[in-house]
Amino acid sequence: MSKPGTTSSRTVSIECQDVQAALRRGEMPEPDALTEHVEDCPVCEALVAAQEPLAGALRAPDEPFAFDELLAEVDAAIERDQGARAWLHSQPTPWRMLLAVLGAAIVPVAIMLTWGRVDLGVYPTNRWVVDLFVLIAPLALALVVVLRPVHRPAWPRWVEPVAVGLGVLAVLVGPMLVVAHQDHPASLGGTGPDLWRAAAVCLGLGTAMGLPLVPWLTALRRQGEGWSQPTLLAAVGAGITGVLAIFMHCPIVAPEHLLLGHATVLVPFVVLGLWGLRR
Amino acid sequence: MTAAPSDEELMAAYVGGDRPAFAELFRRYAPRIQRLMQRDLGGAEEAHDLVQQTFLQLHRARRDFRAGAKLRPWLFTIALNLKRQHFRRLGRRPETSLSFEGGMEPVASRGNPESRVGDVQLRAALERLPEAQREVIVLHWFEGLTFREIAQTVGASQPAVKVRAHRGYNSLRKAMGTSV
Repeated sequence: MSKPGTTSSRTVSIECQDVQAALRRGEMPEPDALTEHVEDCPVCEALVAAQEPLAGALRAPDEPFAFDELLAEVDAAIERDQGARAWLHSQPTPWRMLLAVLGAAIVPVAIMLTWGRVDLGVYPTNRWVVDLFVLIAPLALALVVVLRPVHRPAWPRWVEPVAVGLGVLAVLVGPMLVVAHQDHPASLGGTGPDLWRAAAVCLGLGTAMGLPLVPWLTALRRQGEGWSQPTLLAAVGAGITGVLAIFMHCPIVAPEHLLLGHATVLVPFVVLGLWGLRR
Repeated sequence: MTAAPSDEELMAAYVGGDRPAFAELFRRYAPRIQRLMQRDLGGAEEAHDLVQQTFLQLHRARRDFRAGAKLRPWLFTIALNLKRQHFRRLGRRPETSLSFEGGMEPVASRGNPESRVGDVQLRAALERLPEAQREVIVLHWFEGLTFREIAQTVGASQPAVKVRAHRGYNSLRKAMGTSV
């Protein structure tokens, strides 16, 4: 038995597209060939069975189409699509992805190199890798989803909420793990009477360091104006970058500080993203 | 006499800066995209906006178009994605329309009450189909895409698309009460 799509014929061989084309013209394919084809092709069998009402719907006149008017509107929209932002979102997707990665990496890397945490020498390497992976993995996922080109088939609807959820979970992992170390005096602060002040400083710094990524990702994605669906995820990605940047600087390891000063960096970004969705 | 350039040749020319090539692509596909949009939207204004967005996205994504790729699935994927986003923004499900203003009213049905009833039945039957099946039926039957192109457009395998088409056509046949 041959696969649907092609039929080896003893007399006249027809394929699915021949059946479809004939039916679309309002004709019935040559009976013997059709019979032989539908024996092996349940799709065409179903199509032939349903073609009577479908053919009625297809024999429709082309509606009046304001070709010149609509083309002029599209041309005008393309003409308006100029400037730095247009240049950014006209770049091939691999380039846009590279630019997004650079945008997400530049602040944390710069912080690490110029204002890096003073306890790095005593921070356990395995834990360092885990902490970085937990933040970088959902950030990478967010970038991939946000920058997915619109000419690629859409992912299932659950992908975006799951990516947002993973981002939120990721910033909560650090405070839930055991304390990384207690081997540096700078790591022991940020608790007791100093809890709120230190947390507020980290929250402010982290927010400020993540914020530039929001317009950057917005400029890189190609969705049209008003198509704000991935804005929440873009904002969450920027928030994770802020958390990552503050993690590169702040040596405090107390869970309550990590929760109140680091994880909360995501809150203003989530608010910003939800606001973007409502626009 | 030279053959008309293929869609892919026109797209390659447009990527190279040939604006008339874009106009030719628009001439070929805008009416079909308009029909695709209007079939679910009903309103011409919304459909116009989505056609405009589709070609604007084609323009923005032009440098992603690779030699050897087929343009038709590419363009229909953009259109379907924008339509889905539109419905997500509105928070409603597509409604299949076969008889909107100036639209898909069957020639045979004009003034024929029995056919008119059939159109309404078909519309209702299409609306009841799961979105994945309806999408495949619309692309296959109404837009004439091959299963290979539909598979590329909806991001599924060809066998999966054929299964959806099979189930969809069977459901339509049952709903319309026609016999094999």
